[in-house]
Amino acid sequence: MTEAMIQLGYPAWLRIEHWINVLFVTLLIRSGIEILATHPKLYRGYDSKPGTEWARFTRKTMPTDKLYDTLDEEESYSSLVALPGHKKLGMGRHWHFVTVIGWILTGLAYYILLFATGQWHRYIPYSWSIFPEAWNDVLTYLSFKLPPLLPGQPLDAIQKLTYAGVIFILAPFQILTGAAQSPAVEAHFPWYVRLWGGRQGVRSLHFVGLVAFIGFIAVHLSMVGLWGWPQLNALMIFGSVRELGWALAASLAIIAAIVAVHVGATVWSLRSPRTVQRALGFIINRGRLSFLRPMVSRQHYSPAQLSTEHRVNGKPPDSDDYKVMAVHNFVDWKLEVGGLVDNPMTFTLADLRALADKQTQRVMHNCVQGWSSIGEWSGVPFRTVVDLVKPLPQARHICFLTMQDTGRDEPSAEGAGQFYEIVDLNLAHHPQCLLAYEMNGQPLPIEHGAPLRLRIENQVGFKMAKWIERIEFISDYHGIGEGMGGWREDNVFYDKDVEV
Amino acid sequence: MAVLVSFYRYFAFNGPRVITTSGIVILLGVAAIRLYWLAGGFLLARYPTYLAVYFAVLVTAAVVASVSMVIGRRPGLVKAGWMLGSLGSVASIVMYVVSRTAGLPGLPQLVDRWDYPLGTFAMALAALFVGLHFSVLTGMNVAYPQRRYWHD
Repeated sequence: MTEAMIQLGYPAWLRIEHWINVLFVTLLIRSGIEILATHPKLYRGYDSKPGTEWARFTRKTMPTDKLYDTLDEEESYSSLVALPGHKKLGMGRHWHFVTVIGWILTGLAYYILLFATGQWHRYIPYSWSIFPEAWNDVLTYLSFKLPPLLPGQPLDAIQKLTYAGVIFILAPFQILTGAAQSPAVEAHFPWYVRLWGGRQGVRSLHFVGLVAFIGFIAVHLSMVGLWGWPQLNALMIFGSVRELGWALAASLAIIAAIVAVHVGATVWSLRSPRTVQRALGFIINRGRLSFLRPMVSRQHYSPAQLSTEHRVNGKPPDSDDYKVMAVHNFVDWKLEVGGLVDNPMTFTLADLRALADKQTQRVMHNCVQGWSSIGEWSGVPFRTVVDLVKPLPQARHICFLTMQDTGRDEPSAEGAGQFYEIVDLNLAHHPQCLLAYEMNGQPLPIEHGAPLRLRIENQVGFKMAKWIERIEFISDYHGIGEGMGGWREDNVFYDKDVEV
Repeated sequence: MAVLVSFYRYFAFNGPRVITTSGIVILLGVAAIRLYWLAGGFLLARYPTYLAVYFAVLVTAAVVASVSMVIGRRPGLVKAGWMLGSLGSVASIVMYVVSRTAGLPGLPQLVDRWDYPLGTFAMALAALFVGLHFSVLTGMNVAYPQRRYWHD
């Protein structure tokens, strides 16, 4: 055995990282499928106009003669393929985000150790001759034979190129395309979304990356089988070909442990989602507030980029009071702003229109389900209202109370009660934080929140409360509803802060 | 089986031009390999005349099928093109497997000769076409000139 062979063996850190990677990648795949299930359709470009999708992973067909919303389109996948399955987007998001943090840290440690120990030689080619050698390897496999390993290395040429592609291209690709789906990243760096072909383009690319990973895993396992599973298994357990029986037992034990984590995560999420929300949300939120909260929206899409159709998540209030107001163009509607403020105020729609010069912004709307569209929103900057009512020093959050009664209005939703959402006070000062009364140059349509809705462009859509009737400045939200920071947080277990 | 069929029905794609282009590229690949063999690139320098006729028929069928698949004005012809492509592909797989197992008349030297990359590749292409056609027949994919009409 040459010195190079010894150096490029299977050091302990590499073996440990391999098995940790198996755990993280499988968790990412299952939780990613859960996220896909909530809007199981893929599009190109920026928006999600119904009928323009290039792929569907659903058997549902939506009605064309009555209003439906995107919650009706949600699929309930089996726990065998999705984590946790059964239409639990909130749980899927928690698992996906917490796992990606672990996966990125594992990957960084892997990169550092690869280059610190010289193990990069096993993956990174340093001679052009590897390409003809890889071609010869392909021909050899097509001859139903095994090609020779590269001299002093544990892989053949095509394997070396493939691993390099997965480790240095595919994995970063998934992270970069994942980041491009964060509303905060999109709002702060619109060019970055453009780089990937638009919001839906990047969502599709992220899915293609998932398929590539699944394909790699299938070929990887086939190769292990072809080259001698007992021997390679021993290498990945002990670092050398010895004690094949014990290696088999150890690998089965590791696989059983990984399966146990999956089963545990699934059962925990289905039985006690609140504790998952609290525990995983605690971890995720640290990273989210540190890296994504500072990203302020600076989007200015052109009129030509406006979406021709804007999907709807959430059905309008189905009350007589609301209908009467709607018939009279909301002249009787009033917005109360109070709570921990020096100067509580009440506004009519006319008051809001007269309050300040109308601010108009053409921005991307990111639904938590993954669909998107570009709309033009006009209204009064929220900071104008904040300055008028003068929040007291102890005010830290803002609660938006709406006219929607979810139990009455939204049969597809889990839970009941008045819809409300809470945002942090510091978001109110963002230049594109808007109380919108117009959409695309027209009075705000009923399905999009008439007469008034919130726009906070670095957040996911559900935070932008529609059909607002009251705004309260508060010091703490734990006594409101279930205390999680909003109706969706209370009932479908999303995070309160949703920059991603 | 019912579970598998149910699972399969969750997948639907809307890329008729991509599917038809892929089908044609695969079929032309199948044809090109046989043309190469006819032109002297075959594993054996000498082989029976019926094999040359078979290669020529396969090339003709692949080209005719490819042309039929893009004549969008007559959907019946398009379907026939896909069917002809699948028949040719299945025939090529059967011929290849028989030549390596039971053997073909006058070609005993091909038995067990699986170590022929171009032959394996040709077989894989044919299998790919059959799989693609299956996905069109079962509705997972649509081929030109079909459209999805997803209006919901």
